Amino acid sequence: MTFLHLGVFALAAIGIGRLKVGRELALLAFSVFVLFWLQPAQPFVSLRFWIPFATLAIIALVWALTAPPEARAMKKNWPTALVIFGVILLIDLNQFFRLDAIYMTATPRLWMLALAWLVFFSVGLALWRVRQTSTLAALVALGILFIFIYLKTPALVVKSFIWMDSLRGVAPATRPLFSWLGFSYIAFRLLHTIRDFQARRLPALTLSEYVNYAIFFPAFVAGPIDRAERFVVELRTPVALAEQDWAEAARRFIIGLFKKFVVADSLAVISINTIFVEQVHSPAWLWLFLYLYALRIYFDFSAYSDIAIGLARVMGIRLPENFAAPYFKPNLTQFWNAWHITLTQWFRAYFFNPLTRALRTKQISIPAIIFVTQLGTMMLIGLWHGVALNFLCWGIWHGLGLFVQNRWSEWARTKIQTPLTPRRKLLADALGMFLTFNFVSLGWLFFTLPTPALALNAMSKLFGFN
Amino acid sequence: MKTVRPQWVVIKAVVLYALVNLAFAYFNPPVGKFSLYNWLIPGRARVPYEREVEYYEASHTIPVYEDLDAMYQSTLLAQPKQPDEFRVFLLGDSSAWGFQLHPEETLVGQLNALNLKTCAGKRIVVYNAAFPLPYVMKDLILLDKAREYQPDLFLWTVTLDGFRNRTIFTNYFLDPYAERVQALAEEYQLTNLDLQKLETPTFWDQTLIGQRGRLKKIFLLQVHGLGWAATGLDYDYRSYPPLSPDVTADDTFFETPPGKLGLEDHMLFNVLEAGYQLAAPTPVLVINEPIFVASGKNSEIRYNEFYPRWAYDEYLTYLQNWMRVNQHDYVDAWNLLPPAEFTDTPFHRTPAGERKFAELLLPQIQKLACPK
Amino acid sequence: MTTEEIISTLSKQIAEKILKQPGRAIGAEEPLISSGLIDSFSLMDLALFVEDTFGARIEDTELNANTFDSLTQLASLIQSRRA
Repeated sequence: MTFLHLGVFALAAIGIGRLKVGRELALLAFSVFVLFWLQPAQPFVSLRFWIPFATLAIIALVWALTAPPEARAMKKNWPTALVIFGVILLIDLNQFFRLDAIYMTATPRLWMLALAWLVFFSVGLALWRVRQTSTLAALVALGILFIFIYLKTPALVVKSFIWMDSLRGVAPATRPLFSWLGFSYIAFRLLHTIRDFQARRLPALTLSEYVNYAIFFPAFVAGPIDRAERFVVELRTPVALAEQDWAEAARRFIIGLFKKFVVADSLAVISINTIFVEQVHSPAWLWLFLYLYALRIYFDFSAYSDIAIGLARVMGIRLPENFAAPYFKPNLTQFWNAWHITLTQWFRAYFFNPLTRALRTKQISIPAIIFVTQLGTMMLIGLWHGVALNFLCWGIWHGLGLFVQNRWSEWARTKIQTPLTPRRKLLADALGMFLTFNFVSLGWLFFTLPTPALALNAMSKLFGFN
Repeated sequence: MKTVRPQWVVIKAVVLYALVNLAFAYFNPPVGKFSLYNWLIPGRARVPYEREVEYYEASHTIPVYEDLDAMYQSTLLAQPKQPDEFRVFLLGDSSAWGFQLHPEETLVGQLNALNLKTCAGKRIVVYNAAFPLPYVMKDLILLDKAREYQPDLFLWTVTLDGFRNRTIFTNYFLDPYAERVQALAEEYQLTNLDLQKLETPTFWDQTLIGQRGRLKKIFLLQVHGLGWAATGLDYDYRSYPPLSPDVTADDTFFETPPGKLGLEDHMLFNVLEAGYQLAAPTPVLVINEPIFVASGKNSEIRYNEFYPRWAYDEYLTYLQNWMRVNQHDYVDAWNLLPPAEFTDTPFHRTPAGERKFAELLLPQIQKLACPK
Repeated sequence: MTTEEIISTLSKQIAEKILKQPGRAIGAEEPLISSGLIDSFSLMDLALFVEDTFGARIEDTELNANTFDSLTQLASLIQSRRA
């Protein structure tokens, strides 16, 4: 996202927020446009059209699968279908207008377009007719998960494009890497609705509400991952904006811009990376660059959340917070309650809690349950960032860390029966914060360096063994 | 409680921002003079340079050719001059800067390793003031700026290529200093210099918005300083294919056929004269830098991929004659080094080559450091 | 069972079984989740206890500070589920 994008976002958010009629559809139209607009360079130009098209198709199909009959009534949904169709049509028509400054045309072939719509309508019709069962939902969820894993495994993506080249009989060329913008977040929104549908907890959502939830433009690229039942309440009746709320929204947006474009982008230059690990010989410098990386990733990521929260607030929607001063937490458990909150909540709701509940009813020792559930959850959170060994190691690092910290707290709690004096508590918290920050920082080595071997090498350098 | 009116906040912010922009354009503050180098972080051994954007991080650098202050402030040049110091500044192209060489291996590093003294017992300290572009007009602009740092002697390495009218360079190297370039051209009658493409920055270019690119680079140059301080590296050393002893059969010099070089009319020799006058009373030692001389196929046509024999010979005769007529101090090192002492281009030298070059310059420097 | 009774039962359970500090009194408005007092594993334990004791089920997706963060909030959730 560039300044231009964000400037347009801000204007659109203010405009949409002020609408008295048609607000939801206007938001939908703009979000659909943004979906196309933000597409990066792709190995094939036409993918810049097909990826957003497929995104919308998947969302619409999952909606058809999960929406109860009353939400599927034609009367409620035809304007939505028209708006989505209209935006896509306008984007297609841009090949004649050529307003490339606004949207770089990626002209899809006409026969492919016809075929795509045909496939979409046939599948849609089929889903419309069949009974909406849990099994079908599970199959669709598996399909989404499959796409997710494919996209998150760069080796697979590269291989598949080489394979496609060989099918077309052309030599593999160097091209931009294929990427499906926003899919990590969209997929997890869809999976959440599918799981809740299976548990009969998903509220009735119209197509417009569902698509708006899935691709809400402020949160489309980098989250947060809201929950549908929460989001839709404020989509239906936006929270009124007092003047202080305007100021607060503007403040979040501007702070976000500053954090991203000034702080994070400058820190990027002096954050630990392969080059520094190889070139720097003094541990002190390496520690500095490691800490700067820790700050950079926080500022970079939380900036996106700030921007999203600020933009959404202007439209009367309060997105959930994604970060809560994570580096000021006295232990690792609390760090994970404050870092990428909406993602950890997701994994807690759909992996950790069900697993814990299931294991708890069996005769298994508590430490063993904690070990398995913490480690499993953190490994999955690691793999969410990319199916690669380094992310897995990062997950394991935190999983083990959480387990050790949990056992330590358990032991310490039984030892310390009287509450600490305020001074001692402060001291203990400060020490905890120091340890936690350092543990998390060391963990970033696995996250940011391409191989675990390099991360271990960096660790040994940091501690002066080299 | 005071109520906030968002529209007024916005209007006030816009007005304030506009005012700050105008004030910035009007006063044109010397932002480049403020630097963390030589203060919080050690000064660089040479000006920041890296050709490829994607290597800025690996090189812990970002070139800031829009701001000579920022450029020199980040180097050792900006250190305060010591009373017992005799300052020598080296101007020139990438071979003077020391492409592919660590700072201590460059000509400047090798000269300093010799621990020279003047007759009066002052330490002769050589500083790298070169920027990697073969273009004498760029050298003149740098010489002009470097005068602020109390030089006692300039060394100026040149080669035929640098005397060409490089309009391709004017835009990004001369434009920011268009006014100064024009003044110099007028003062020293640089009639050969092609200034048609020179674009003088407008008032709007001078606002904060207009200058954002420069300001961002100056800021990032400070940030990259940490990487430089931690690694002692200011360049990403990549391997390049070595030079071939063979050259192409083509006998033109950048499409100029034999006999059409027009050294007098088209080349920028009067820039040299301007340099002498501008630097005065500080002496300038012009050095014709070593070139790679091919020995393989077609070497009877060309010295190397840059120079056909006829063109370089013509230039050599002209330059030597010009120096003699004008009675300038001059060192000709064009054939000083054997082919083995060149790396990736006909100009870039090995550490051993630099050493030999330094030894050649030694008596001349000492001579100029001891006024009669 | 009154809300006060629910709160005191919960308070006792948390102090004894989760915090292992029987002497500790937990305020009705004290933040439990956002403060880090109860970690995610103990939260599930608490949910199972609530289910067994009061017959009110708290879903996996509800175990977070948005649904309840204090004993008062939890007690009212329990009351509403029991009704």
